Amino acid sequence: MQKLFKKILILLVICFLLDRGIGYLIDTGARQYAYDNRPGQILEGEMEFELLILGSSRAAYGYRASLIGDSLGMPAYNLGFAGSHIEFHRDVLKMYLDHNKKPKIIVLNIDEPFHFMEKEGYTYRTDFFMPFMADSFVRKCVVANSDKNGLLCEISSSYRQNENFFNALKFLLGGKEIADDNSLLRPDGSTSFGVAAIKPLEFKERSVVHNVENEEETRVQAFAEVMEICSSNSIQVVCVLPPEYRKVVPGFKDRLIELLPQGVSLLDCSSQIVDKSCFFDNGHLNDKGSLIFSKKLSGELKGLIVD
Amino acid sequence: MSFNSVQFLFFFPVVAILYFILNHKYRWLLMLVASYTFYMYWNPLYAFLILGSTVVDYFSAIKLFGEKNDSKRKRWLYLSLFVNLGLLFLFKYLGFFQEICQDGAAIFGLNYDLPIVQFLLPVGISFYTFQTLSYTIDVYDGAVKPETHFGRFALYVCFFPQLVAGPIERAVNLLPQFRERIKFDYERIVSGLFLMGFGLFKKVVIADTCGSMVKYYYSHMDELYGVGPGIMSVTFVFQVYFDFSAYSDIAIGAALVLGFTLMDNFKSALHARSLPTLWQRWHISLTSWFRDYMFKRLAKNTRNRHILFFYLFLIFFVSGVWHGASWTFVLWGTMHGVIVVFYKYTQKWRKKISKKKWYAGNERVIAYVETVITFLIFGIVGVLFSSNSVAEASYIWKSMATDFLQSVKVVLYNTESKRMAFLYLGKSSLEFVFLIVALVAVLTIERYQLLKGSFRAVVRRQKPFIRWSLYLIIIFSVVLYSVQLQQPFIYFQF
Repeated sequence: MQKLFKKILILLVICFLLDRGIGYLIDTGARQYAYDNRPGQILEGEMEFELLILGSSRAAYGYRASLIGDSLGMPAYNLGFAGSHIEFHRDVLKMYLDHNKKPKIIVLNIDEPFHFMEKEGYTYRTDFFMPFMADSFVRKCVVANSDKNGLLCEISSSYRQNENFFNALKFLLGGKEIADDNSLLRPDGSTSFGVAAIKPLEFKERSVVHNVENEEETRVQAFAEVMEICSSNSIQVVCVLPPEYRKVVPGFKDRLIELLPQGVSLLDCSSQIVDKSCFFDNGHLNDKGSLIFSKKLSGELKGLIVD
Repeated sequence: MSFNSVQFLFFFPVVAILYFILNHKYRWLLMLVASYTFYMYWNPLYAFLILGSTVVDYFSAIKLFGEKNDSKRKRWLYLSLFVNLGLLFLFKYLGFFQEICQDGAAIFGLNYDLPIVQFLLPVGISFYTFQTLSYTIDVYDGAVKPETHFGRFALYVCFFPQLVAGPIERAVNLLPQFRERIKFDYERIVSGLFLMGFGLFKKVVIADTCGSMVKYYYSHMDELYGVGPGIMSVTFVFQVYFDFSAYSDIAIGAALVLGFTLMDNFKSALHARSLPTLWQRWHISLTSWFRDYMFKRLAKNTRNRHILFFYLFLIFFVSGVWHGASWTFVLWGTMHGVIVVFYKYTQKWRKKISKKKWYAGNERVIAYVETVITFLIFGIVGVLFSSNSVAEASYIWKSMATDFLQSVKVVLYNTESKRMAFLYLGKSSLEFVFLIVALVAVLTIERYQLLKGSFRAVVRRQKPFIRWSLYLIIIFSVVLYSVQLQQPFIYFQF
């Protein structure tokens, strides 16, 4: 039995050393492969923006941070991530505040009517965080929102990095990830979404009414947490309902107002743009639309900013 | 608890160490507690079902063995059959049976109002039911003596390495091993651990990757035609084969570490040249169960080959039903039955052909062609296995034949960047290449085992550097591919 234990011990030591080495290599490769390095930039702690835009694809595609920032005279950055929901936005904000100078204003995009609900394609985007698993906060977030095992993540760095394995290999074989035409990042963090709609757009009527019972408790709680974090850090929050080419869902705005703490402004821009050539689809602005909307939004924000 | 879970990673070493530390006298107790703990990890209540079967079979076997009167002996046998098959019917087939009744009633314009009863299927019920049934039947036949030690018998029913997905063991093989004084044997333990590692590799690296490709197909089935569903059906064969054979490897390996020898469950099934041969090498413990306890009994008094073939067909039909309570499995079993019987009917004719000159001269090539054809038949029929309904399966068969050449063009020219969807089924080219490499490696090992013997023995003969490199490749492949924890084994649902 002693012989077996001795050999197992030697194997474990070799595994430990190899594990660290493989984990390090994957970590390096995956970070360099990732086209969207915004979480990496956040972790580096060199972001000094006074205005941050948070939200999902509607934030990523619809808000030109540089244009808004220039107009307001404050450096701005877009931290919108396609397909992400409020729990993810909360963690992006926490991560930002942990590593960077706190901003003055946060523009929080509200996804009408799904902001507090479960919806397909609207998830906690662990994939954006994956290349940065070496960071303990990122790790905690990924473990909490995926089926990755927390204990194994702490024990083995190869296991922790295993989702990045093929990306690291791709980097070795072919260099950095190439973004497709609909997800090109601009220097201000916003994303380009092409110039026209793919299909001819029709204005969408919606007959559903917002139902509080369909809300997810965790989403409502995450929203409250975002408000609480901003309040405790004296960050001004402006919630924005972005333009849409469809009828708004009755009851959602009232519910949002109900959840907003005092002092938080709400800008309802949902019917601000009616020209369908400004939309990529019924819910997303294209490049032309984002330019128009960002200009309009800058004007409205000017009147809301508290010195 | 599943073999590919983190819990098992801690559970097994603890059990193994305790097992070898403990005095032989108490080992059965440790194994019994470990086995029930292993099972109760899913649903503690369902352990009572195993306990119920154990109690009934323990007493039935002792009673029928002591009885001289044959009709009374039969009564005890029937009691065991009734309880075991009754529980299996109740938990696995009642809902399906009711659906059939409902549909049947609707045909005759009758009203069937009873609510459909659907229980949560107890994991491994089909496996341990067959195992314990074989024991009572063997005792009835006089093939084994009843086990008088209740604890050891209970361990036979719930021995954790093979409890939930086989191999379905026979009392004659397993029960005596519980009495043996097992010594710590370094070579045996290393061999067992290697087999467990190899099984995990097959499960995590191959079966789970194939599984995610099959899943991708089912969530994009409306967009994929021709090559797409074709690749899916092939991928599914790999998934189900490597998933199940991996489970058997881990089970046999775990038992070997503890000093027990379980029967082989797979013998390079995908290298078979015909469907009957494939079935002789696939899930051997089940096919041999059907052979010994059903076919031999049915065929005892007949020499008429048409009747024998009918019985053979019946076995495949029942095997389909054993796999699952749905029309897809019924049809799957039926189709296999028909094909195997067709092979049997054409056996003489094929033998004649094989004696022809041109056949003998090209036997190697013909063997490959036959293997591929067998594989494809298995894959095409296997669509029923992966589908949720017969209608879904026929949709997939239809879409295999739809615009096939067009889909080949899509794959060749990567039209609209759709090669990834049609050929790789959602994986990147790099992941696909890695999968192919892993498949080729494992299939080559299986081929070697089929022709020349144990691969483990070959590994044991290598220099330490090569051996340890292989261990490390297996360990790190499993770690790097464990992206999603604990993908359930397919055969758990049976």
